[in-house]
Amino acid sequence: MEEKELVEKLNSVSQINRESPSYRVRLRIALLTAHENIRESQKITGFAWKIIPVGALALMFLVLGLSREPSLSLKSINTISEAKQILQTDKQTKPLINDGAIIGDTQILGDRAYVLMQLPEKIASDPPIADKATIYDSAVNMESNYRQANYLPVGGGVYLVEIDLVDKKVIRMEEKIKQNETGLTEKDQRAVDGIISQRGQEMGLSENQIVSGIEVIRSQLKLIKKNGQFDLLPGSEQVKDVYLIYEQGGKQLKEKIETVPDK
Amino acid sequence: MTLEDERKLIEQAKSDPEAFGRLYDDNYSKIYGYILKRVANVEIAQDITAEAFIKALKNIGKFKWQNISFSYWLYRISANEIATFYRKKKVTVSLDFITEPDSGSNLLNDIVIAQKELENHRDFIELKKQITKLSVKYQEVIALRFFENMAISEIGKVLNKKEGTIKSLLHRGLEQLRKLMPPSVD
Repeated sequence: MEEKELVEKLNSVSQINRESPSYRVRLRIALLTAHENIRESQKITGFAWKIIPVGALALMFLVLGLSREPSLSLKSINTISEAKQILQTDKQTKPLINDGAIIGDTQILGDRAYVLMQLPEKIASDPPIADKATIYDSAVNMESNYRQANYLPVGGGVYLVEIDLVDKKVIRMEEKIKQNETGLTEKDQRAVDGIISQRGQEMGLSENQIVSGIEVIRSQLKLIKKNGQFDLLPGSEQVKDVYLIYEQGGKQLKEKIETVPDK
Repeated sequence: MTLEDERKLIEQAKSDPEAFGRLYDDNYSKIYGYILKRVANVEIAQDITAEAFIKALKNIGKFKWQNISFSYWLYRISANEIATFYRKKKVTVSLDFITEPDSGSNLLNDIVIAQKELENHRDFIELKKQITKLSVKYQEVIALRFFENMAISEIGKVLNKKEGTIKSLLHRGLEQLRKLMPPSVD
């Protein structure tokens, strides 16, 4: 085979990648669970080095190696899917699932599962966004309507759910971020308005091609262990994915736009 | 993420599981992808990926920042794990969470689907068959150069070898592979 042909074949391999999403999630959970055990075990061995004779230390390493290796059973990892099943049937969480809630970061601690659930925030505005987009075609009216626009968010709540895995039920559901309070800061809203205006000018938005809404999803919500249980990682709620929704020929199209989190 | 951000994140990851989780999120796809292309088997790739990240987790406390991306360190660990795999022709998975999944589970279905998709890449499978006949030292430079699109200098950082050595390994590896490949049929 010619070298050129071989190089072409080799280069084509770079495109191949097929992940198993469930494995990726399981491994992540296992690693994060192991993290604490490993650090704890290293603290003990580090301390022992200073005070214990070498012979005794060797024996201790052997014991630690056998007894303190992180215990990560598939059984404990499988509880994730069990927790999700409970969410789908529990009377507190089922309505949220039916309303399109997204199940986010999930952590297991003993016989408890901690889950973040999020309702995507759908935003309309007054005047309606579609009207605004049309109005943007007219430079004369743009400024006055721009200033009068109010964002009217629906959904957007974030919930921390605690599940008892033994009794298989939700024992606590805490609203960490209230529904109907927009995740968009004024700065975000100005950025969104600017993009709608820009799209209006670029595309000459018409009746069959309009921005019909905005959707906000907090994309980096995380749990953090605190005082023996998990809670929402402060600041993780600030990172948002914002989508403009267009209606075109009966189809809905989404455009992701960049917003910069406030520091 | 800048190198400085990454340095801070690594420091944080030494004591904070979530920070380690972010390093995992940033690197999982490329590390798994690299291993998959090296072993051409989804299940083995998953096992080696797990081993590589477990090694990274166990050793992150000793990680010394050398102003190069964290991913190079992960690639190095992965390359060592793959070499171990080829040497022993088996993977010793130290943690019991990578046990056989229940039949019908999402994980098992994922593996079966992913393996089938992989086998659809006939050119790759044929190529992989021949690459496997090469010595591991040639396999790893060819994989990093062509599968991961790395520059010679980057491969040097991953394998801790001089650029001249990498060039020479690459040249000899390609030459041997070229001879192994069947003539093309037009």
